[in-house]
Amino acid sequence: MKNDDDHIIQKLKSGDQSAFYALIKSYENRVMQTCYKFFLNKEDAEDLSQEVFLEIFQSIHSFRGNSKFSTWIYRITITKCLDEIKRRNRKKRIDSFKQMLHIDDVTNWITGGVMPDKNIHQHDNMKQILMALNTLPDSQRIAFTLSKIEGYTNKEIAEIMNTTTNAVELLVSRAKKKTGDELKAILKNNS
Amino acid sequence: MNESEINNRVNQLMSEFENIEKISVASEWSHSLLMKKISNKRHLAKNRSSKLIYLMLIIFIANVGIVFKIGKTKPIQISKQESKFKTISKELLVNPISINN
Repeated sequence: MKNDDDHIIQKLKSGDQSAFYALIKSYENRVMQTCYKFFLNKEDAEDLSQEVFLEIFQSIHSFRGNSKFSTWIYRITITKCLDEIKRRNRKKRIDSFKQMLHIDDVTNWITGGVMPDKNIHQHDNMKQILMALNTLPDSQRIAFTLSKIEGYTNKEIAEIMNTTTNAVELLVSRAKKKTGDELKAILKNNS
Repeated sequence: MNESEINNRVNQLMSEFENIEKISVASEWSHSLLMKKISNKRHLAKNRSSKLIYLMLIIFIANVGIVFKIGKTKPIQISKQESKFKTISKELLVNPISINN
């Protein structure tokens, strides 16, 4: 795998077009599953994965080999996912503020548009889990989410997060407890 | 919902999250990614050429600036040189009375 990676890196750096396809084929599955676990939505996972690969392609010259190529790729993937989650949370806050002021209603009335259906694709269960996961600090969310994806070992998660395996175990157990507590609170509120 | 029902539901949700089915990667996805990459590369090429134009423009402006600077400093240097010659020539003037003595 390392030799394959070295070959891909060299070719990518020299601008070989075929290397990009090889890169996709080697990592598409893992990157896609990672994005999917963060968003629990196929379309979002596909869009984000594409952004990840474009980012890899654009910043391949900054890869100096200090870490494994796969670790570098998954770091980019996680950073992209977290950035997108933060962007959406910001948007949600703005939307709720707009809703409070009825700005959307006025805009729709002026433009003659229709209010979009909210979270039409998202299953209720997944929505509740996402709500609970959104309350976790970044480090806990990363460790917990990656630990639930097939193929990621604690050692690999530690490498990605630049920490120790013990710290990862601690983060996962804390995240599990906090997510459980949050889910309980959500379910109590809904009932 | 009572406490035990809530606990069961939480466990169910957690295991649902853990056992989410994998999604498959469609070939259309790879194709559209390659298309995006090609268009992105063109964009980069555009950027590169615009950077080159900017660089050339900066060099041109810098050259013009240097030419102006030289143009302004030259007459001063000449006048300085002239005044130097004058003082030297004055120093070379020897008083005829002192020779006689």
